[in-house]
Amino acid sequence: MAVSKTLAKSLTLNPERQEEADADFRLVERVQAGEVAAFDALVHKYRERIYGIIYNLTSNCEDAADLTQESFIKAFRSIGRFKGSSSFFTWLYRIAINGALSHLRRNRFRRYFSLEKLADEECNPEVLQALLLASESEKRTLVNELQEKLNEALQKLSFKHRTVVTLFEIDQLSHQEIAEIMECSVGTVRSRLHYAKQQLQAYLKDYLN
Amino acid sequence: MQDNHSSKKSSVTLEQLLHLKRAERPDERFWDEFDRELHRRQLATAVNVRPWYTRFSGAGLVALRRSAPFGAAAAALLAGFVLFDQHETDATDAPTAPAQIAQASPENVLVVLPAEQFTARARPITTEESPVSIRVPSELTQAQFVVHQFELPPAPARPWKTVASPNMLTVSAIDRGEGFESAGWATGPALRAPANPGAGSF
Repeated sequence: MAVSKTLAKSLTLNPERQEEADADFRLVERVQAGEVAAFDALVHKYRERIYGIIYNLTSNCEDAADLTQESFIKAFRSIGRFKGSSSFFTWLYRIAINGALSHLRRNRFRRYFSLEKLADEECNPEVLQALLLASESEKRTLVNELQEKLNEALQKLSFKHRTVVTLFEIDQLSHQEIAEIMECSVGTVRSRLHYAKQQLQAYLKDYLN
Repeated sequence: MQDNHSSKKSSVTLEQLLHLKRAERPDERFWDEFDRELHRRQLATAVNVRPWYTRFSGAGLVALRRSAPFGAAAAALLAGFVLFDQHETDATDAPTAPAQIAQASPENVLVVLPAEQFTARARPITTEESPVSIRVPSELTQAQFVVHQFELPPAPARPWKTVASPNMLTVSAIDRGEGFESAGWATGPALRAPANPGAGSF
């Protein structure tokens, strides 16, 4: 019976997340039994989210691609030791965030942003509408400018604050999930989020209401 | 510019700006390349098993740097580990280390690992040229592909568990007999992601 030990933590996960954690754990068990192809399913499930997290932490799409690969390779190497005391998702996120932190420490003097293009269909129309009293032709330029400003502002935050904002506002994780990933209390997450948003408000005051 | 900013300030919130970042993402071509590269690195990881003492090398180096009085002792200990591991490698029936195979093996060499030794310290017991057969669809006669890993049905009698090759193989070089009952999955220029990777023959 492949049920993760995270059942013991069911109070911290909603039923949907719990089901997901158990499905992940079953895949992990298959990988541990030698079925390497099962790892592909985990990669396909999480690659975009892991990439997104790392990209938003580093603001560099080339670095994000490399670090995402490294995160999965590290997970693949260590999966034999994964016992299910946390969900696979939490464990993988920790690997990715620690990898990004090490990378940023190694390259602390480098400030090179390379940004992903915005997927048109997901550009929030309300934002565009609210932002722009400009002509259609100017929209793209202004959105790109905004994208740059936002990334610059995020990079001015400390790593911990940036991580909390990224996980909460962009990846839409709950305070509880973030607390588990960052191994701190929910209160600490709330307080970091509050402080980080205050800082961002200040950095982006020219663009915000 | 300031005028521009004034107009932008009308009603945008920080949350809306942050949500805009969800739309920053790579396209499908990026993920195709990503998968290919990840499989390549996974394969290298599977074949390139690190000796166990390398896990201690990082910690050992930090200790040497930070603590001079213990430096000599740490170095001696590390050297001891290395010598001990070397001695064990010499004593084993398998003279070839996985790392050497990954770097130097020619095409069409398959590495066969005994099931009970497929651990972090496993050593391949044989390396033979094209010693196995796999089922290959006829349309792939001349195709090149990478044999990543074969998953065989559990059979206690089998002396081996996993077969992996770090190199490109040509189909024409592979015997088409019935030596293997099932194969895992393969990727390559002529064999894109199979519909059901890992299940049955390809």
